[in-house]
Amino acid sequence: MLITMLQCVPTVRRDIQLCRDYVARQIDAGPPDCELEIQRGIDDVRAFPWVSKAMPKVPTAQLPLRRRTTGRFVIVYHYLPPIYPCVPAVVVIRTIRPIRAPSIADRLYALPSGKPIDEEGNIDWDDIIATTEADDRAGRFAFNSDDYPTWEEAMKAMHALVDKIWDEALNRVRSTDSSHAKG
Amino acid sequence: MSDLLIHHMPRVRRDIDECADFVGRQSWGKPQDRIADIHRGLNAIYAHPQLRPEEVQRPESGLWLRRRRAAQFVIIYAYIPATEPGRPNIVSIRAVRHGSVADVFEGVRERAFDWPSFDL
Repeated sequence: MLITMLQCVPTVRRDIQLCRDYVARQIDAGPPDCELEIQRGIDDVRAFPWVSKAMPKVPTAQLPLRRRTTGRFVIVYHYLPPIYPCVPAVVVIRTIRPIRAPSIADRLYALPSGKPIDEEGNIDWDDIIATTEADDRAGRFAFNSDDYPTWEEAMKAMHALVDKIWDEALNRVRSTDSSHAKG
Repeated sequence: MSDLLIHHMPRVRRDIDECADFVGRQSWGKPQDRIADIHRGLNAIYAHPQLRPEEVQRPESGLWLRRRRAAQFVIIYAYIPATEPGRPNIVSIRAVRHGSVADVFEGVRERAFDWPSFDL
């Protein structure tokens, strides 16, 4: 089977640079993440160009356009299937743009609680009350500043406790990831 | 010593663990920046616990819960003012949740490039 040819219109280079610039200004991501996502998307498009359906009505385009979402970006492309067995298929990347997802919930697939919350509501108040009420009545705390002689020591201990919990969880994730990689 | 007493409920430990677990699995997670967000959020609550409005009242004790956003996270807490002179005010941290935002590009400092018209 022939390898699908990949072509990009000249403006794609500028699109990628604009995506990099745009993402670089975000709080939670940097250009390396951006490039990796785009690269994976292009690889995916090239490997399986027919998976995304042709968009039915795009009046400004002479050829049917397809779109593939890759992370925070969408890749718009043409797919020209081979007309003869000896002729390779062609993928023409038309543009790459950042997308504005309706909710970051789309990216929360791994959230253990499985319930992302939004700005205005949907906080699981009942669950929070139910899971803290008994501890509150019994005076069971994960941290109590009253156990420390000074405010400074209490604050230091509190932040150290939060760091410890955080680091333990991260170490667990890393060890799990590395064991998966080895497996 | 401050006149503020701080409690973290046992659930908070689990919540922070879950948040770290989640952030650690994301390629864009930047865990060290995110834990700094939580620290800043907690410090802000301790500094101004009454700043956020009361939202939900616990049925048994009548205590009101408040929330404060800390970047990607939402911290749920209760503020219990001192009932007698000489007694401390209490901030009880109840939960730390990962919060979604309406727009993944929230926080962008300037308007995005005006992309050329291209009907998708």
